[in-house]
Amino acid sequence: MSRVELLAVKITGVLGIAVLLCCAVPTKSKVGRTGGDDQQPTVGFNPSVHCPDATLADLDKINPSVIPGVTQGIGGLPCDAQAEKSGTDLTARLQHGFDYYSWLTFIALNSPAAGAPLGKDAPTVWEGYKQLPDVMLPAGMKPADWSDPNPPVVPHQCVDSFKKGMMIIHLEMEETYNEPFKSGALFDQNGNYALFVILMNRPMFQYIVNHSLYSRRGQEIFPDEVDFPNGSDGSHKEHPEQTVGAVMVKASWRVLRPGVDFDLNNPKLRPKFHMIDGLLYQPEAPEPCRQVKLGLVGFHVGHKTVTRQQWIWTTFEHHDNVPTQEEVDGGLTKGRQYSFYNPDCAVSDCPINQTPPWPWQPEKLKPAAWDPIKHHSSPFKSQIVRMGPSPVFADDDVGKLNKAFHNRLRGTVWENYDLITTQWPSAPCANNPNPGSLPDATCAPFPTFLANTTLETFSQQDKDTGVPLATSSCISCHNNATTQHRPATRSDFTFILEKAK
Amino acid sequence: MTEMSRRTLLASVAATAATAAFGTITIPLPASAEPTPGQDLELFVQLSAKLTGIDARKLAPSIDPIGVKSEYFAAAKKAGGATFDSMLRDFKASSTDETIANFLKPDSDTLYLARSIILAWYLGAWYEPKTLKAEVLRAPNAEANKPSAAEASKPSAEPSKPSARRYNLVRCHIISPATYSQGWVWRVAQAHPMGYGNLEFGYWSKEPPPLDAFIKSES
Repeated sequence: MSRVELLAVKITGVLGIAVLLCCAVPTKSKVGRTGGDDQQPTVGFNPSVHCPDATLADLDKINPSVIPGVTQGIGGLPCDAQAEKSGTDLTARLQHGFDYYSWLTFIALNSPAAGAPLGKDAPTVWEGYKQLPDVMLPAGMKPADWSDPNPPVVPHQCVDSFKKGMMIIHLEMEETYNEPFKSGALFDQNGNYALFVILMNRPMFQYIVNHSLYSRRGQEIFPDEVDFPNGSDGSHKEHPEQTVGAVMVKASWRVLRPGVDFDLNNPKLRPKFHMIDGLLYQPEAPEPCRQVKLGLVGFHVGHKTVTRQQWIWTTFEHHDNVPTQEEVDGGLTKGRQYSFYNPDCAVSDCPINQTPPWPWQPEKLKPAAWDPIKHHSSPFKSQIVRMGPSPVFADDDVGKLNKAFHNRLRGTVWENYDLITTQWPSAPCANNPNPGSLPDATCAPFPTFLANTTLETFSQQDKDTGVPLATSSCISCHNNATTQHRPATRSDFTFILEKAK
Repeated sequence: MTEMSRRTLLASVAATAATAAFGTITIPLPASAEPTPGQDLELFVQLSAKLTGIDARKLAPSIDPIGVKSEYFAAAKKAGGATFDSMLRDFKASSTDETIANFLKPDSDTLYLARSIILAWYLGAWYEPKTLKAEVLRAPNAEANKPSAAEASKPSAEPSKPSARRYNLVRCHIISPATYSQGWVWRVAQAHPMGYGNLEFGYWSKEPPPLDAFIKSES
């Protein structure tokens, strides 16, 4: 080979390498999809599982005692929802199917972390998930690896106060006491804040870690569209895999007073709430770490599946949270005790569904900073009435399911929790893996509006009237969630990513 | 730019809808002559599909969480009364394009009610039939409103502007927040109404989804 020819070979080689480097620059696409996607590498974590049968045969003949998933603990968590088998009205069959799925989800997630079926009150599976502040750490630090259960990141001021099994309630985060979009704080009838926590399961957590989305910087350089792992029950030919997919939980708690709100030794005051030991963390307070007993009052679950790319949205409430307007009008509230309503206070003195007076920050509460231990509580007590949803079907459709599962859970605290309803994307586009390409990325949520009275208290429907994008709707609201990429990109129906630092 | 008066717009919308019935789905209607209460809504949807040129499955999907059809039906029934009932009856007896054309004849009792229905679906607002009729009578082409010969002969200071015309507000009311957000004019425009939209974040910096994605029925 001559010198000229050798030079030509070298130049060609350099040019070839340059072309390869150019082609290797990442372009905007969807990576991280699991199962069934042969064109993209699987970098997430969404292992194969054996999905329980989550198909409702007939709402009118439901018998939870013979449902296998009810006794399988977390193994009973449905991977997706199916329509009810019987019935002629497709919409009703689907709603019944989703509501049945929601009850199975509730039972599985609230099953004891130690592995027993749901029954006696015990630390739950979901309480061992990763809590948002433990993922979105200061300075965008990488979170600790997953473990079962995940111990919380204990602030240094709380090391001496913390005991194993406690849930740390991060009052330095406004989202802990102020409802979405700063719509208001909620006070129970003792003048204590309702407190909110957000957690995620392992597939969702691992996706965030594997793509470095736990930091603002990581999101800024993430070149792709966020696409959390899917749940799949293997019933669709395009998705034969069985996987759980991403699950996120948002729960609301109220502070319970031992001996007053419950007494383990007094049958007349037996606990009616699922209870945990909480550690209130307020870094600027004189006592930054205070132990309290917390009772579960609200429970949201969001679950992404192959058939519902806008996720499935489930919400439960404690039976004693609030009355409905019909119960108020019918005089059915007398003699009852509610967490967020006083039946003995006239509407002229206690107008309903009002936000509290400012300030809402616990440390600025008037007349004294909030301290449930010293009974420094809010003089304002929220007077809340359930305004919606206005169901398309008779209330007793959900009521039938609630009654059936309550019977199964009789004698436990869990019989006091009601499914409100399930919101799901109803249009055929719901299985489109690129909802951002659609004119309606929400794919017609059904029902249109949905609010939990403890979590979306002040954006409930006004009786039968809702205002799109102002009245609470899980899917419509979460459709607007974005990353911290510049320009901002969709974050696949979760606001968790915007909390990265 | 083509000059467009309100009357011209209304007339063109009605005409377009009437002649754009091709491609709509006709579901066989029950045999009995009188519609039963349960069938009225379904008939109304089919009628609306013919009038608007929009597939009935898009107007009223099989799973319909928003249900604006019921609101438009209620508005039409309230405004139309016996005229509305006879429209449904006639449509049930014969759901052909000829029937629709008859509804839209200039001397027909149903002309303005049909236009109200079309406008409701497209704009989410209810225009009373009598208001539309009154507006036609006051339209620029009406004899009383035509410019005088002297006015017409004056050169306009801005050649692109029309000669002086009288324009009046056409009163209507937005039926509900839901109907405001569901007007078909926004879908045809591949856009969204002010203050509402479910396009993905950042849509303003991209081409909108294709028109078919907005208006065609998903199977």
